Amino acid sequence: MNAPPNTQPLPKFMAPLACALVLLALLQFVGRTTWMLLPPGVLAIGAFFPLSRLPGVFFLSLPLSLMLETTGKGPEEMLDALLSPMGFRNVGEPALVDMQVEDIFSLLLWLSIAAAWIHGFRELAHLALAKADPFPGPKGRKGPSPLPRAMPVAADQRRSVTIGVLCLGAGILVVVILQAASLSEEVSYAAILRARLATLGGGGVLVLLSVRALTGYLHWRAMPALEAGLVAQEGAWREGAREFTALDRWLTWARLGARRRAERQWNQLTRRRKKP
Amino acid sequence: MTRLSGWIREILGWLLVLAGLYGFFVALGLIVNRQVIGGSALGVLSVFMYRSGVGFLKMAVAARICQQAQDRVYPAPARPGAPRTARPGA
Repeated sequence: MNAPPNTQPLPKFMAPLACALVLLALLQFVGRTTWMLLPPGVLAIGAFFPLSRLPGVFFLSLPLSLMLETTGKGPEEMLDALLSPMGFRNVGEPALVDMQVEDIFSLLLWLSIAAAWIHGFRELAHLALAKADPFPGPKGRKGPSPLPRAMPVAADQRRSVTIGVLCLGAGILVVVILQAASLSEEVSYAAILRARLATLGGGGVLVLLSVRALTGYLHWRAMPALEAGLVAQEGAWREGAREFTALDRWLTWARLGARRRAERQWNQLTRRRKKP
Repeated sequence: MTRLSGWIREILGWLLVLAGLYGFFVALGLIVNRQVIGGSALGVLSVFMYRSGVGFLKMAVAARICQQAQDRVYPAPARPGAPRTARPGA
């Protein structure tokens, strides 16, 4: 069973991504304007694009940012030039980038956040694919199971992917709001780094948990009655296993005690019969 | 009664999931504001709440699907006082 193209996992994506990230890091060293923020911005805005188009747009933004970089003017200066005939002056300060060690560290953190978002997309694509195969089996097995859950998944797949993308967008908003809230209180650079570290780990986990809860709920709603019965039995066993075990233990002790009592009575009876 | 308990379980599951996510978000804010120990404890608690909420949801959905399948196979008998529908041709 072939999955629709917008849910295919990103094909052999990591190697070109690594090259692109290296190029992006090098671009930060030579960059003099804020055009260097275009590729990370594309990664951030890419949460609202279909899954299969994000890598392409990201790779396209790299040479575009390099080309804009050669103009020597950032977007703020261009905005100044556009608005100066109308009487507006100095809308944005010229942004000359002087990369220090902490800037590089910060950049790496930003790239890690972007990688976490991409991982969220990959996880979403794999979830959408995994829904088509309710019994995945061993990892090396190719093809769907003999009992595919085709009909309900085909109806629910597009909706679940849309909900997942919306969750990713909401997670990005949460990250942005959290960072803005933390930056307004303390402005030191260590605080910025700490906020980025926390959002890197926690924000990614938060987004993935939300996506998993929603897609898991849609997945469970589509399960057939047989699987539902098995799930209910497993849940009942998990919830009652301890009590049943305690009851069984008590019953076992009761049976053993009754057997011992019966043996004792039998022995007493046989001794009485032997005495005369 | 089974249906009501299923719905209660589902609502409780969603509440637990949302509370777990909110607790995780609050824990994240605490960690950002240098309260690492409190944030970590709240994060662990939130993960437990999230997991139990997900378990509640899964069980409730499974119970509802089982109940629907059972209703399809064994439909409820008509009540004795209920008005009979006229048979065609009678």
